[in-house]
Amino acid sequence: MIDLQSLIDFFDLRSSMDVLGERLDLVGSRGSCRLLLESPLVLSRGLFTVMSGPFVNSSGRLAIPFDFLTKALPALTGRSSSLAAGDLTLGEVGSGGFKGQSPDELSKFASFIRRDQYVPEEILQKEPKGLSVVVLDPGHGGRSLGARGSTGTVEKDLVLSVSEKLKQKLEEGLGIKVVLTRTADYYVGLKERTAIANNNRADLFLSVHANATFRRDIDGYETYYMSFRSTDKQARSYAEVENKALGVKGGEDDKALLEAILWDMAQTSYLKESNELASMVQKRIVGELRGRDRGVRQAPLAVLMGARMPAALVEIGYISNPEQEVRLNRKSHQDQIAMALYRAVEDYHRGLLRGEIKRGQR
Amino acid sequence: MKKSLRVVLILFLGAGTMYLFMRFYLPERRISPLGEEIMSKPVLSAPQARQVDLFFADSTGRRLSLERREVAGDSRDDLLKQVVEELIKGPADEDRIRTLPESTMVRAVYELETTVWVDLGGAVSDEHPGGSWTEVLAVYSVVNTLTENFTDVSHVQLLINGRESETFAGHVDISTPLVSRIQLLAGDWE
Repeated sequence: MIDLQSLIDFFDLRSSMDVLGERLDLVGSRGSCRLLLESPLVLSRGLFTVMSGPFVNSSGRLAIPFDFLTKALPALTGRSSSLAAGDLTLGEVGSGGFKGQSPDELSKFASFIRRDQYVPEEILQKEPKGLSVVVLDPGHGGRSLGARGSTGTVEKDLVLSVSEKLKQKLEEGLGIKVVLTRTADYYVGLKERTAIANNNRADLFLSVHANATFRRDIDGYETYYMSFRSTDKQARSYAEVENKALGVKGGEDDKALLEAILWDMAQTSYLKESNELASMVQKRIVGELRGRDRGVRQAPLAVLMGARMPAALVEIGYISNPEQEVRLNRKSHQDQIAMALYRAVEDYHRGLLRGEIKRGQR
Repeated sequence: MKKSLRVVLILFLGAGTMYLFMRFYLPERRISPLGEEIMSKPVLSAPQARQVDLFFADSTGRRLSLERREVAGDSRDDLLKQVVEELIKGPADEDRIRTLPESTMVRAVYELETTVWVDLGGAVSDEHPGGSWTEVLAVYSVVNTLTENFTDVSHVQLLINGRESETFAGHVDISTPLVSRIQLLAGDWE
């Protein structure tokens, strides 16, 4: 990460932050760009560029990923550069080149980065920290029944019961704060569910669902994390937003469109951790319940899309399978499921504490 | 006073005649979900028939699996509609599993440039069994079947009861036009 103020000083940029402190405009001699807090996107010349991580505010100190230098700075200053993300050595700064710059200036810049601009990851990350807030999302609710079994089991009731048990175990066992996206049988929109997690600054989002299919003999366990709809779709959105989002005049429509895109892209920064979380959940649920392992998969699931934290969705068994439905109805089995999920979240928590899982930059 | 009343009356009658003429004699107009007004295509295309590879689920419910069938329609749009109807009929082979509820109604299928809009009745989500992957396979059985068999179709936009929907049946995002996911034949997203 690079300390933003040093960068502004060195390259003589002008900056302005919006009143909410969420949007930063940088203006150089050749152009301007816009950064959004906690987003990896840079808007410049009407186009989006995705940096390796988000633009962050770390206790009042603004920092941006290293590849800002190569991805956005040239548009501001007119200087081209080919610094690799996170690269700090003089040699590589020099070899990639700020074309047309004298060697003196290059070494000045390199040492400047080394001495002043580089904010070590440790400062941002401090000591390894475990989970403090977990949001559990019992699927469906209210008019959305979810899957229904042949003897009348309804997904929305089952997953609420399991989520409540899990919440209690996590609070007692790990002493962390657990928030449920719904605490009774009522409808909550999909975006609202992720918004609850974002607003609570959750470290983890786990959506709990029960499975179903057209064939009764299928059973087992699956865990999902987010996939993107298609690069095609993103390209389309970028084209739509072109020039609009960057323009200071941007109307309400543009703002809404930009927000929609940012919402869609919120998970991008957390895919690796979401994959890790999903794998831990799947390992525990298959291991402790001794069921058929149907694998960890990516899918375009709407409820995971806007989450600004590692997020996964677990399918705790097939309601459409009559034998599994009977098991799912037993309180003792629900306890077992909750215990398996507890172990998975605990694994993740310990992984963070041991520094084995790298926390997403926020 | 009397004269001005007569003028108003004539204007009314004129407008009414004009409306009736436009309503019944001019070609029917449709509004696409993009908000653009399009003239309905003249029924020029002759009846069409062709072999189509339909995407159903395999017996494990993990992958999509192909079944070849002859499909016929009165026109291009009708052929596309009949293809979706065939998907709703389900697979002939017992080793495959249906992807859409039997009670699904196809309200309309139409094309604008390279995107096909498939408007399905509410039963497609109400009667869908649920489950994330079952839903992925439902969505992409339609998307893949149309994009892979008709090479000039690049995107499929699913509508439910004539409207864009956030999800298909509570899980899978269908809010924008979708592209083929051929890797689902191997059970993978990509």
